[in-house]
Amino acid sequence: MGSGHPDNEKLERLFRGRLPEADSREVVRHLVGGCASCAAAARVFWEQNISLRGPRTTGESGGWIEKLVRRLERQRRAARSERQSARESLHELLDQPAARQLLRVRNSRRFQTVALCTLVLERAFAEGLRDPSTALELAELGLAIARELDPERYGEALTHDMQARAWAYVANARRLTSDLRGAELGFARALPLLARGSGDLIEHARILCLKGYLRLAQRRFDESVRLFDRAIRRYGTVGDQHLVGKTMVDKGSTYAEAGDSPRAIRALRRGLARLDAEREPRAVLVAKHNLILLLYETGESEAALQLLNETRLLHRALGNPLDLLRFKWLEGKLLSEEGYLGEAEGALEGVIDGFVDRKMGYPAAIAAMDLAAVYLQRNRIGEMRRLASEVLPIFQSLNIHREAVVALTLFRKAVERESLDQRLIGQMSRYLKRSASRPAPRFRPTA
Amino acid sequence: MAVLKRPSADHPLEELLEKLQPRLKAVLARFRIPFEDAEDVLQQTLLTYLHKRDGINDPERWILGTLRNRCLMYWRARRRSLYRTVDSAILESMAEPRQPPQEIGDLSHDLERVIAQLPQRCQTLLRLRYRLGCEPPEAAERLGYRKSSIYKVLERCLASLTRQLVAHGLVEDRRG
Repeated sequence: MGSGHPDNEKLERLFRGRLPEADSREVVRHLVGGCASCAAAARVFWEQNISLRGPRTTGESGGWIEKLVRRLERQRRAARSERQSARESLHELLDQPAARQLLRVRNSRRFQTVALCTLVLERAFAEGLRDPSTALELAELGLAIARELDPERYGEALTHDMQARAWAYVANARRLTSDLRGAELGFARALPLLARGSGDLIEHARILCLKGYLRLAQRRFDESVRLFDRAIRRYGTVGDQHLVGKTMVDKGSTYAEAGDSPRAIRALRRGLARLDAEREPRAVLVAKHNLILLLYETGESEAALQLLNETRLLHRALGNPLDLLRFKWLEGKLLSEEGYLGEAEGALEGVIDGFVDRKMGYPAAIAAMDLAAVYLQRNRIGEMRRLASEVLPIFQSLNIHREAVVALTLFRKAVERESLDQRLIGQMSRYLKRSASRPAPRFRPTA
Repeated sequence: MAVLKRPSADHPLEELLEKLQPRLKAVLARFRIPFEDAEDVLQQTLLTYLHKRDGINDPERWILGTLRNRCLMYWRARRRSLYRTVDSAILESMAEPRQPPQEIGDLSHDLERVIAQLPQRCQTLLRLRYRLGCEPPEAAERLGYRKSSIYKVLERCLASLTRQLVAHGLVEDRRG
């Protein structure tokens, strides 16, 4: 090119990303030099190729879409066949020990499919509610499958989608095991992959929601709400009102955690109105459960009790033991607030046993604070001492952080000195709830 | 939050696309996707649909919404590629070992003239990058940005720089 001007073809190819490196260098150098005529020519190509101000493309009129559909027929049959065999592949894979699972995934095409990856990741998500460590193992297995997906077979965009999803599920599982730093790193891997994906709005929304949960765990409430709002817009665009509703419920949980009960109640009610109970009855259950608590806390006891009765029926119909345990906990708290202390005591004692059996340290400890409050009201000093000396040490063997154990020790000493009061119980309860999502600084009771 | 599998809507792909065809073409035209790339963009969308259809409640809205989003991503990728090309071209020109000192001096002078037209924060960042060879993490530290956000800031500044190159037009052509 020398000291001359680049021709129009070179300028256009620069803006279309099709100019070799050496030529790009020369063209850019020439533009930096301030050549007005070339800048004017470049402006035209900029508008056509970058700034969306050029003429609309009209495309070939002859049936190119029909030809495309015919070419996709083979993939359509392949996708259906994959879905049909995925469940069998899943059972076969999960029957193997973990190390062998990875070997099978790496060496056999049968275990390198989008359908199988989808099933494994769904299983990982569901397991998160029961056993976060297993959820993490499954998510990592899903990631291994996603990495083996053949871009020639699926296209790069879809393989990037699945890798992004897998990383997001790994991040989510890390959050559930309280590894928030690891979760952050997982999302840092997921998002660039998503940016090179298919543009699937459901995929985008799903990952936004998972990141919203992380921000909630980090108590970055404003960011959490913004992420959920972005997800809601995407679900709305694709016309999935059930997922819009679920995300509104998640947003409500964020507001509740932030202490903004009126906004939380509004979001939960709006979400419930959109949920499809036939499609996902548990989503309705979770929303109603959270709403009951909030209604009670804001003084709407009648509405809370009415919803409690509706929710009891739904719990019995679904029969998930852990959900039933949490419901019993909710009942115990409301019975206590309504003055039915004997019934509350019975309910809460059963709840603590249930959580201890499941090795769920934090819920057990928080429920113990609720029980301590009841014992205090009933002046049951002996039971209080038993709770402090026999039950609380059990929590030390469960997955509770050191500072929370120290706090529980302070609680036990207060019981022994008979200096325990409702204020201290309230402070302990709040401290343990915060510690459940991340290690909190040392517990310091205030006067 | 996992989307429960629903029975796939009984929408044979051909019927669905026959119904959607005019709107698909309208989306591609509205976003000015070059014809040679339009087929690939649409193919990727449909291939994704085939593999994810069980989790899709409303196939029509999903296909149209995803295609629109894909078109936006297409242009975003094109812009990023252009900014990276401009950035690489400048960095390589500044670092070219066989260039006579006079040429490097001229380039620095010309570049400074363009950079001076940019917003202040871009001026600072790009001078650090092109004059002092600062990589983004070091630039972040010097300028007080978070390491996680410096790349976004750099991209915006490269966008400003590139726009300035084509908006230039008013500067006297020194080469006549």
